[in-house]
Amino acid sequence: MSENHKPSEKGFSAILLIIGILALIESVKMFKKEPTSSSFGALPLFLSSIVVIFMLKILIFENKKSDQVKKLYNLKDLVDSVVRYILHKDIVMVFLLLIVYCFMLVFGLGFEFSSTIFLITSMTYLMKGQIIKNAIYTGLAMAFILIVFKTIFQVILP
Amino acid sequence: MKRLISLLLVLCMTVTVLIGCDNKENNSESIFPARDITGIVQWGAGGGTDSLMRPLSSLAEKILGKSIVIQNKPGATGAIATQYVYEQDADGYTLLMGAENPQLYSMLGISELTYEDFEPVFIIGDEKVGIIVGKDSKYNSFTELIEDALANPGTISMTTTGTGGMPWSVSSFIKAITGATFKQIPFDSDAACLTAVLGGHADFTVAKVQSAIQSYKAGEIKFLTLLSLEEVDVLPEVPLVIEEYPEFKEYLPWGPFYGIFVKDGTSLEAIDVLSNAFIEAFKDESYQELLRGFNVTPLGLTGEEAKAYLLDWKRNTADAFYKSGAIDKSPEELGIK
Amino acid sequence: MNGLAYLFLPFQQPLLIVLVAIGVFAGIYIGAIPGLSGTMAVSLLVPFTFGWETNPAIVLMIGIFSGVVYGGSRSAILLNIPGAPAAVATSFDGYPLAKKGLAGEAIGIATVQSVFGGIIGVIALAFFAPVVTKVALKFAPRDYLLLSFMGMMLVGSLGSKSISRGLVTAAMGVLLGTVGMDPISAQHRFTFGNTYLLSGIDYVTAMIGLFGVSEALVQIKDLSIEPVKQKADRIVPSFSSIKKYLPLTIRSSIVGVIVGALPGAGGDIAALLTYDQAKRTVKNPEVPFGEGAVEGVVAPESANNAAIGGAFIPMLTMGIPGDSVTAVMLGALFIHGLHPGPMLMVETPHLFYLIVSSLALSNIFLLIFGLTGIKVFTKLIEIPKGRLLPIIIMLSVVGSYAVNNNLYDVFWMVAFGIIGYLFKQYDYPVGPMVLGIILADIIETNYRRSVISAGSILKFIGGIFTSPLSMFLLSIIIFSLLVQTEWYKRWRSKRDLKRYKQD
Repeated sequence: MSENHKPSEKGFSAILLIIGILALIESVKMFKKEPTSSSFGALPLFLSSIVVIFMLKILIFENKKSDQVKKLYNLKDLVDSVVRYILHKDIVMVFLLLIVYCFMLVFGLGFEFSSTIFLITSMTYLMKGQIIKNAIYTGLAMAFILIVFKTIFQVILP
Repeated sequence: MKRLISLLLVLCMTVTVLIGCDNKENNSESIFPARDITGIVQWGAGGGTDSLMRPLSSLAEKILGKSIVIQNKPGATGAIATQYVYEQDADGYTLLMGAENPQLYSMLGISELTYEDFEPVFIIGDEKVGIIVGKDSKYNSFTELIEDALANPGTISMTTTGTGGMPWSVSSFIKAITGATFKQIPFDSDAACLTAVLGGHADFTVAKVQSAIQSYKAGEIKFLTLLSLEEVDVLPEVPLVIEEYPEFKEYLPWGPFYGIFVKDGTSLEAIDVLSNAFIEAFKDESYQELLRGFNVTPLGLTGEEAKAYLLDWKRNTADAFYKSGAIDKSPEELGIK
Repeated sequence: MNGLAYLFLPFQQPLLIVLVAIGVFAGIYIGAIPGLSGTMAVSLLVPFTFGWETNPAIVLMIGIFSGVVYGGSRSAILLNIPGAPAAVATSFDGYPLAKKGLAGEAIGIATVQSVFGGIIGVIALAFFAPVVTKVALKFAPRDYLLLSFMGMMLVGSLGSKSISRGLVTAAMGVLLGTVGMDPISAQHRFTFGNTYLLSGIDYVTAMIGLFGVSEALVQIKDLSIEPVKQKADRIVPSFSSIKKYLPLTIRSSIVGVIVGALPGAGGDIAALLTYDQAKRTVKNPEVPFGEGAVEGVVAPESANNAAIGGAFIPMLTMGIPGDSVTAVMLGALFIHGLHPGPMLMVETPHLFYLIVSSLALSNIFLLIFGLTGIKVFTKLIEIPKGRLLPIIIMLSVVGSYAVNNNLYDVFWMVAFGIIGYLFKQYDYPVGPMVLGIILADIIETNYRRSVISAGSILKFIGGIFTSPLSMFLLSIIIFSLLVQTEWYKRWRSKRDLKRYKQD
């Protein structure tokens, strides 16, 4: 048991448990349709049971009594620490850029264009400036990808 | 300052996205084909279906003047590819290239679609299948196998490729006609079914002539019978099933078939152009030789003939499935007869 | 021409040698890019070479095959994104080595081991094909099950905080593997009416997301950490170190050949199995496994290249592919009018020898191309993270799209990236999940086949005891589990203590 207590670790474990339970419900439905040991529902049933059982074990037995736990009973603090831990500023930014990138691809803006924008933007953000250098790197990366993929292998790009 | 620049870039991106949304142009095509065509194959690369479609397409490309880009979308016995093509526009630029399985989808609850939702562009050919056993098997004829199965229902083991696959379908035929039932062990592919019999892990399987002929020539397996009305030239010594069970005549000819389809509603001109291109490609001697090498019976059907073939096939199969209890709705109820 | 003489055919037609070289070179880079798989590359080649003569076409495909299996280790080591599923095991210790600045050494070892493994695979193919085929045929579904179970035992070794967490993620991984249409009964599982999910969750997409994107996201937090300077001196492993690992290499390669020869199991499973075996049998690695143990690179890399030779065995002797790449090659051969199968040696022996010699050649080129250019590659990861990470993300997008030319795959990849990120933040191991997804199909279908075949679960278990092969596999499993227990460890230390006293 490590000393680091991660914010809302129990919360995350609880979420996993819920997922396990949902899977279990689905599996039972499947199993009911064909209740034999070789049915298509047999393995899902077995697996989701494992998830549920072991998640319960983790939740119940891996109990860390630390002061932090007491402090986090205040909902606001709880949310706050989760946000700080998971939703790190830079990570959220890159993630949003990634989503926009995906959207650009979906709307048919073209791979070359979307990727270039994504690369330059994220690099600039992360490196806090140095646009010129980033542009060069972007150019190199794009050139590499385009040459390798399109020309040589004729892979269809997004 | 630098953060500001990056924020501005993000804004630019977002604006571009919004503008890009409205920018989908529609090409107005006058002559078909005005651009490259996509062929979606129901099965994996290197498989039987794929190996027939790729060469034919390379030949047809030359006649059409545009490329046919082949993509494999295997899964769900071809239902994935079928669904995908159905979701595209009915403009003739997306072709469905597959085998016989879609005809069974609605019966078996795999999908709502069947080939009725598509127009046949070209049916390449079909194959004969037969019953094979290992070389040390105690069975020397199909009759022996059936008698044993009737005496011990559900114990003789056969390998299949799962519900809706070819061996499974044949087992339904057998049950409908003789009443024999077997223990069915599912595998991933025809090749795996054969391997299992070779390894002594199952009593028999149903194999295409193509898949089994090499092992047969090497003496590794015995061909008990062939599901065919006439003698198969590469296997003249193997008895035909109608010799032992004439009732099979009702269901033959039957076999896996391969064809190219487009979504229902595609313009007749487009279908015509495609059909003609494939007919020409088909006639090419190199392709005919390929078909011979694959032991595929060339059919080369288009239009109404193709539709008649498809309907016949579906009807025979549905009939047998209903009689054997594989499906509970009769062909009439399914709207097939 | 006498069949044996065909062994030297490439040397009579320099064009063939050149093609092998091109194939290997291209293959390495295809393999190094996550999402591009050998299967895809080879299947792209099929129509391309339709008009060619048979020999050049085959030779090129073989080159690519060898290159790709090896190439996957590059990105596995440098970026923790396996370029091919066969390299998943390589990333477990390869990436930590890179983090320590020893990427050059890691790649060097991977290269040399791959070549060794490949050569052993060729030898097996050339001399032992019939024997291996017989053994491969003996594998019943329950033996496949036992084999995949051995692969899953890796979960125990990969777990972080507790075995429970590893079990949970592994079970989730296998569950994810069941999503889609069940191949046996055609029933829809966990699809919720979505057509895309009907074909299941592609493990390459999951792998790229869970390993690559999640790692990229995690590392954003550590932007301030300087990229580790790579030591570029010890690239080619010293002769003594090669000798030290030789027993492990040979062992892993043999396993690789056999597993590769099993239809339906290929280099990826071989790599996982040998990694696990190495972990359990290497007594005192210089560095613990998972933190940069060299043995953790030796075992999987030799196994996955040996599996190439293995995969050709059933393909050539029975016409049944040993893995997905050989499946495509089989189709290509058919198109060219050849009939791999039992009659191959009788009708067209030259094909066999041609394949053997081009495989051998490809290993030589692997050595050459693999060892050169390492410096360039290692310099690549010295790029500041702020620039490297976006590039990695873009590569992930391209790679996941390339699997099926489907944008949905990209979205799923991103989703997996987030899942992986969350898992990593909360100490749930990601490795077992990928393992579960990869092995899900084999485990389930073989379990069901065995039970159907035996008639009931009890009979199935009984069946294990009646088959010598199954008993052999079972005893390996039991032994491997025992080695981990406290009881055994105490016995061993007592024994070692006794020996020490005797000296």
